[in-house]
Amino acid sequence: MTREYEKKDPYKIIDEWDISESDYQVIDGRAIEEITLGANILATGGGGDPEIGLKWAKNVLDEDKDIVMVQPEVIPDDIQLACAATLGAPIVLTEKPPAKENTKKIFYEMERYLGRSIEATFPIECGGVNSPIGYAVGGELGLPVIDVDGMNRAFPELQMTTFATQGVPATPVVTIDDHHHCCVVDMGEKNKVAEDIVRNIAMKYGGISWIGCYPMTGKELKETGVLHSQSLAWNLGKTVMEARRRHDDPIESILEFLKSDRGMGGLIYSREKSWISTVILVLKQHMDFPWVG
Amino acid sequence: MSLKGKYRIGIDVGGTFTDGVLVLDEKVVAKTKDRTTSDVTTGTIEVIDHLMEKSGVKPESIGLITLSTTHTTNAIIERKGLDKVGIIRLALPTGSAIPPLTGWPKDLKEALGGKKNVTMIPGGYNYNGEPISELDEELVREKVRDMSDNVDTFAVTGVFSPVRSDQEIRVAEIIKEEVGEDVPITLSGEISTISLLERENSAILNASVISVMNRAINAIRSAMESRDIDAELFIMQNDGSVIKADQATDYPIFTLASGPAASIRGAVFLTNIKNGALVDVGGTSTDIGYMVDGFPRESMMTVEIGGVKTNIRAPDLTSIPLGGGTIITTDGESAKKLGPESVALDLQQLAKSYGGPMTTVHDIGVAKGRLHEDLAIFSTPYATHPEKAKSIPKKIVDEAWDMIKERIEKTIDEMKTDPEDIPVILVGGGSTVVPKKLKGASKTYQPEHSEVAGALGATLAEIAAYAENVVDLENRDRQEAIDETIEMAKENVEKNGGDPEKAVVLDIQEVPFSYMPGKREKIRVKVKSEFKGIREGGD
Repeated sequence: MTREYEKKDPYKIIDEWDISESDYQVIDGRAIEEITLGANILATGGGGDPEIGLKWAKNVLDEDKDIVMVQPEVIPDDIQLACAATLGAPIVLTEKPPAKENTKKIFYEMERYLGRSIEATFPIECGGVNSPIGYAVGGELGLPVIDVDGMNRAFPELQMTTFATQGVPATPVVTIDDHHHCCVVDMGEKNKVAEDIVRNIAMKYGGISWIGCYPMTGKELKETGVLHSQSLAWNLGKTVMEARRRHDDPIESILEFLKSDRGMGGLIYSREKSWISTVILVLKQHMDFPWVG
Repeated sequence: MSLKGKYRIGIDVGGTFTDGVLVLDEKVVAKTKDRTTSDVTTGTIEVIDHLMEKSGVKPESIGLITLSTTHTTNAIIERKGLDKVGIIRLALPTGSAIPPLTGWPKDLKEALGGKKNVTMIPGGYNYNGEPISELDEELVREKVRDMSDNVDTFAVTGVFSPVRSDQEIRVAEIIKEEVGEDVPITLSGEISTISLLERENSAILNASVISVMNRAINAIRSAMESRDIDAELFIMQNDGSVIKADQATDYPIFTLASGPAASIRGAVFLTNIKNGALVDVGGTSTDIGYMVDGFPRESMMTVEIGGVKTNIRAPDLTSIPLGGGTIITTDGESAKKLGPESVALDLQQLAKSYGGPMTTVHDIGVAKGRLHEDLAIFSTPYATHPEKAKSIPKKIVDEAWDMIKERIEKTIDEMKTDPEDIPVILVGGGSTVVPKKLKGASKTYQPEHSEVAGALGATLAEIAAYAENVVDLENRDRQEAIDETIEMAKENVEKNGGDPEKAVVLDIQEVPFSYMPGKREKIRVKVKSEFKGIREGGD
């Protein structure tokens, strides 16, 4: 076996699955922006600043790599999937953007541990930095990205997914740093223990690690994932961008799209001093989404 | 060092007007408003000449000139006269997925020399100061030599350099050895804070405008020389402090948004109010800012310059499309809409108070009797046809007045961080046409000379400095860590020409590292001090 990951071709993979054109979509730079924006609304700003992931995904596209999103219903039951994400302190991530070969290393080690080839990937969460990272990974490795995730928003810990609550373990987790030091954590069903260990490894790596996790089959993904959450994020993002172009109220457009009501409105008067900046930051991100062109 | 003369000049370059004041102690001796010229420098020198003429003060009595200028911002926005920058990132293997200049507008990238002057090499630190990779000095030399023929300046960015800067400093030494002592080098750790890509962008932009700033300062210096003005020259920074001109050429990026910062300092100068909101009303827009202990409150958001995201410090401002020239849409009976359109520079052709057809905020001010006399500084009268403004139906006037009032009140309210009423200071050429009674304001001030507040603010020569530290409070005492950071900031204030003995702490920020075991946090301290020797001299 070579020590290198061999890049795959997403079109060849979906050809093998024999699916129709209506079941996949080509993701371009604008789509990435719309999905990221929508995902961050679903995550109410959680999950870390998406900027790094967004830039990475757009760079991947600039290098003429393909990103393709596939509907979950049509994927074969017996294929092997896994996702890649970043885990650690968001503030460290802003200082340590990823090394290019990280995802290849993760999937190489994951395939080696599982003893089988991985044919597709998916974002672990909908929101924050890991949302666009799911697409960057798909583009770097040449794997189709499936229209699902494990949260439909962003949560802080590894085990907080619909996969885990319905019996798909988070491990084996492959965790690496930029030097490609590598640990494989295999804890069976003990997802919380895995989270604690993986986070401590991230500390030793300098505050941020890159992980591969939730290896599962196509059948398991269909049964335990939040289906079509990527499309939901995409349409939400499109709606807001469209509203902005028309100079309409973006919040009204979100409410109409989600067929929802304004839960509450108000003004935050004060919090502990250290919190004020965070609250203002979150509010302003919601109003403004400054990372979008 | 002491000042040779007692008089101080402050100059504030705006989009339309360049304002100037000449002050003695706390008193305004002369003021002027001249049109800003496209090269900025000509207009600035004209302002100096007008102030000297108006005041009759002898050149040797001028001790200090402070300039708040838009030279560098204009150069970046227009992509004009920029330096070619050698871009060095110390990070590998980290960061290779997002190389320098990612996401930059193509024309700006090319104006700086583009990707061929970019190099990524092993280096950088982790948050705890341990190296990601050791610096390969031979490799640095090789890369610097490769670039040296194609670049004017260098920008060096290392991972976590705000925490540990020695690799960046070592690279600067190597560049000097290879290229020469005089080559300008920007180190990212001196420019901004944690967040590598934005800090790197800030450093690159800074490195690109060094010659622009140099030329501007040299032009003003030679104009001063030819007029026998032997004064200390300062440049206004966007945190409300000033920096000596010869140091300003190392940090030109900090002149960005120095105008609004100068206005805030001016408002403090005029009212002695140190905490509250500043409402700066111009012809087409109003800037609303916040004063904290006499300095502008810093923005928490990233700042975009010429299409590039940076994390340089900048004043926290909200701009709203409301100025003297803002158009009020009516249906003949009631006021329907306030702006956002404006008659802009055609106020005297289009506004009702000058016999024109449009109802503007200016006209409502005249109709309300808020504006009823000419301002000395404008060469034109406040209204040639005040009766036309007075003939606007009272219902429209009252409704428009309420709209203006509510727009300002809402913006002030959005920027507040606690519910109490606060002092509000109205400044700017358009401030005489907006309501003085505002909800949320404990008291509203509209001091004399407020139309040149920015230029006045520039005459207050105070030096500021920052320091940053990452600590783990599980094995360090918090107060001890803060004190250490304060000492670091005081050392920096001395480097900037300030007196460390008289340094006052302006701000202490603690940002915890979330999702990490332990109690790590970033501490950032800002101090200010007087310019060393500024009070010693006088003639």
